[in-house]
Amino acid sequence: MLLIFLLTIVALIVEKYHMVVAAMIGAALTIFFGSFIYDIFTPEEAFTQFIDGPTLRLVLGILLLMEGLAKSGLFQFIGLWVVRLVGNRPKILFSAFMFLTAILTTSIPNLPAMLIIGAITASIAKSLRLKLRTWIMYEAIACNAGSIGLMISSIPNLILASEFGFTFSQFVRTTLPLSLLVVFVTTLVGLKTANLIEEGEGEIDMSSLDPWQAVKDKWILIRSTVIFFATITLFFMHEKTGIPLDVVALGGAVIMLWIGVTEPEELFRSINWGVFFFLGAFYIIIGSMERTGALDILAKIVMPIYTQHPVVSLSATLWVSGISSGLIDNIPVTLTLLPVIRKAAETSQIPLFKLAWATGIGANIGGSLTYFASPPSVVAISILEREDPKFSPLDFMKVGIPITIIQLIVANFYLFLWPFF
Amino acid sequence: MKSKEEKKKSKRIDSLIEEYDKLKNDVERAIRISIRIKIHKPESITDEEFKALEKDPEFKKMVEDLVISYVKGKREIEG
Repeated sequence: MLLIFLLTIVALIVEKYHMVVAAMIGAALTIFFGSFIYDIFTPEEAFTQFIDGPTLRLVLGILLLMEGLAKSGLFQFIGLWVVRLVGNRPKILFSAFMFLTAILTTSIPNLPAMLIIGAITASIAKSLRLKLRTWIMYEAIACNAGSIGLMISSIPNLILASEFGFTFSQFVRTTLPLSLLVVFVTTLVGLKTANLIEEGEGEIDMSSLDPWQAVKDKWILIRSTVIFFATITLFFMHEKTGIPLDVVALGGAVIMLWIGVTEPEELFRSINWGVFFFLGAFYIIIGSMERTGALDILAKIVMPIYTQHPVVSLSATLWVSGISSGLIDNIPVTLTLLPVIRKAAETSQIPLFKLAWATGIGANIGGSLTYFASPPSVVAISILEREDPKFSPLDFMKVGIPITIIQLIVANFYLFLWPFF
Repeated sequence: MKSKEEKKKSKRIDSLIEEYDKLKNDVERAIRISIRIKIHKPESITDEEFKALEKDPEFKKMVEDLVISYVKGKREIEG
């Protein structure tokens, strides 16, 4: 089982096959050897006990809700409103767009978030003489930093909420301030070191811009925003109401499909269905490792780190999660690290929940390390390759690597100093 | 020659770019009204020459000037 797991990880790193296909081949081999060759578990057990149903339902509900909000035009409206308000003051506009990007990513999936902010930036770049390359790269980094923010902001966060019972308000108290701090530091780095404007004069006066022109249907926008925030309120009240998170998410998604969007078919088309197959397949691989004891071997390998001083073990968890997420997708990193730290925490002086937070935070920040590790980085590269003929993906890493290191250092201090963990 | 996997990857990127273009058009329309006209390639020029016009700023300027003179002329005729 350990060999199948390692082969799957190698396949994910070399990207020879699509990540979903690689995980499903791994899961198929796991079931073949675990059930039919070694008789350790039945295929039924693999599907019903290894796969975490509540997490899959929570992810499904949240993705439907968020895509509904993304399609409403709310963020195009807010983006253009900010442009009209700030006008031709690049430094203020850059800072505003960095925070807008982070807020956007806390509320909608990071791929459409980057597409929306990228489209707005590219549309105004020529008129305001913005250096598109700098803006798009920094926005992709802000997208990854924004993913730390709330329970709904990324799939690693949803996995943490589902597996460790972290509540929505716990995310607001712990990771949201970090997300804003990391974006603040990144914005400062951008303002101090990056070239934000091209030579020459702008073409259009932005004060006459009408943000409502970007909204196709005002009523759809209002309805989907109300449904979204009503569901968020229920997440907040989860501890009082006792309604399971996945039920709240799916309930909100049903209402969004019913009255929040004009065309449910369009919403279904924009969902990344592959993520469910990937999660299901990876849960089978990890579940079989837990059952066969292969996870114990992995835990033993990392055990020396967890018998060290708490500063070392917590920092190591954050950095390992961050750097691994820069090389492969953050979902397999989170799914692999969580059961490992669960076992390792038995001997560690650090509470398990703190190690879980460190894993989640690292998994989100790591996406900025390379140009292929996270959806916002891939979108940024695609936009720049289209809009800027001289751009090379390696340019992204020249900015991404040092900023990711700075962000991990900030997160490292935060983990020790923030009192609400 | 692109491998099968590279082709699949570029197909995924193409669909991303398609979505980006759609969003960008919507936003650009809110900033400055624009229209889209499909022009078919005339027989007498090559594919490359024709496609290059899309990114030719001089050509774009000429079309914009043509729009102004055409609309002004039409206004005069209609009184």
